[in-house]
Amino acid sequence: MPRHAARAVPWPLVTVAALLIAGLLAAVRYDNWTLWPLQGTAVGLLAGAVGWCLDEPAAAVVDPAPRGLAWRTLARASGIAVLLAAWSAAVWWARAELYGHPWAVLGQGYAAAVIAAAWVTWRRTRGEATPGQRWAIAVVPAVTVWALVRPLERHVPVFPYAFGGGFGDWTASARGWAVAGGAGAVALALALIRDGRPWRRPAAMAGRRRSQSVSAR
Amino acid sequence: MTASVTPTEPMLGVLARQEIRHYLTAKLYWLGAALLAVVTVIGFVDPTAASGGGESSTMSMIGPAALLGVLGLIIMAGLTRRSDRAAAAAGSVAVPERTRTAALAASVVVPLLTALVWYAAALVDYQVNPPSPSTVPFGPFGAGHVFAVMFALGVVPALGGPLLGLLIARWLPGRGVTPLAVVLVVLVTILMQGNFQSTWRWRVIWPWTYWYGPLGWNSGTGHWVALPGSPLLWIVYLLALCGLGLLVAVYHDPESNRARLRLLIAAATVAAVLALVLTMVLGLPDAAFNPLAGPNV
Repeated sequence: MPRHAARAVPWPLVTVAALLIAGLLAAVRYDNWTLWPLQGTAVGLLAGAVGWCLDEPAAAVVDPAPRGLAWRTLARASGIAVLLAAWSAAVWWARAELYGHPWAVLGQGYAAAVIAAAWVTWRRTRGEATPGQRWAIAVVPAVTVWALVRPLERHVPVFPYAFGGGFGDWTASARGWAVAGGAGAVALALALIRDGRPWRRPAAMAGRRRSQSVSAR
Repeated sequence: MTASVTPTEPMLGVLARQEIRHYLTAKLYWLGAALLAVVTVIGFVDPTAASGGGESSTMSMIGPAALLGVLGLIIMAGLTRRSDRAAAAAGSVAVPERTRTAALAASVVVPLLTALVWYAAALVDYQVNPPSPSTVPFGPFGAGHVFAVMFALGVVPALGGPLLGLLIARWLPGRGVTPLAVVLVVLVTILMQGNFQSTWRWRVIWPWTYWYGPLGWNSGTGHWVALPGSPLLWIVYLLALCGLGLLVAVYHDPESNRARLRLLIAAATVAAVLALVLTMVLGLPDAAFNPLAGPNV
């Protein structure tokens, strides 16, 4: 598994992303009042980088191989572990400047990582080789833009700012991220367990099995 | 056969129309445009929704810059890759890369027109909900200065963002480069937006920075401040940068007339440097503070 991880994970990209995540939160720590949108940007980058880790450009070769998607995903999770370690360390380092909500910020990153892993793994089970690239290209800028503009922040507090109030409710935000992360975890587990197998056996296959069992008798 | 011998100009028109259609069908464009419409309407209907009220539309430029400029960068990078894939699939290339680059550049008309619609709405908002005297304009400058800043920060990014995406996609087509570029652009922009007094003199080098507002408000007095320089000449600088970016993107084609392009690139660089120097030298000589305390104090 370590050998697979060493070759399969895009380590240069993971390293750059991990350093950038740390840099973004270091900027927030430096001046949280004016540089706060970088916190949301870091969450988006984390989600995008998780997607890159789970891409399998050689899908045509590895999909028919005996190692299942769950095993390969576990091997590639070493890249995700590095990203989450960088995220956790950066949040811990900046914890004093997170308006008293370091756990909520930490949870945003973890939830975003789980959602990213769920979506990319689901797309992998559908036969797409590099869904992480598509994911990152959409998610990183979309989340960044959301963090910058904070549209509807009173009603949809994705990235609350300061001490809440008109800038978004921290409790509601944490609840929303927990629900989204939980749903992502369930989706990820289902995708890994099913590994692309259909929920129902196709009728034609069921009929063939029946006829095989009849002829065997 | 006919395609390979068709003169470049008609082919450019056909391709440009096609790329404009592609831009118009990009989901990210519609996401950005819809969010921009929502933010603009909310700012119009409920002027206190932004950050305490009183500023009207004078600080609303982050909306189009992010939703049309930043998203435009991604959209254009995607369109460029799509164009390259189509060209590769065509085998023996019928259309040179420079023509495809020019056609892609033509599609910026979509975000540009959207930004102009936003600008018109922002001007109407300014007239209907005039800004408080404690914001802008005040003292040494009038409404024209404010309108120029709103144009530079709201409309020009709709041109510059997609062109930057085109430039990145041409020269740095690697995996993950575009999202990382977005993060870097946002990181530098947020550091250069004028909140740090040490950057006030030279911040105009960066193509997106505030010219007035409650800058440095966490450490300052809460009074609005107008930063030195001329926003009108800064628009010239930004447009020169856009032209420079386009020329460098076209230069990527090894079969283009690179000697001529080098001349044009040098001319655009000189124009940009000249406009930048004039931006710093002319206009407001020093930072000016509004004597009235800001609306959020």
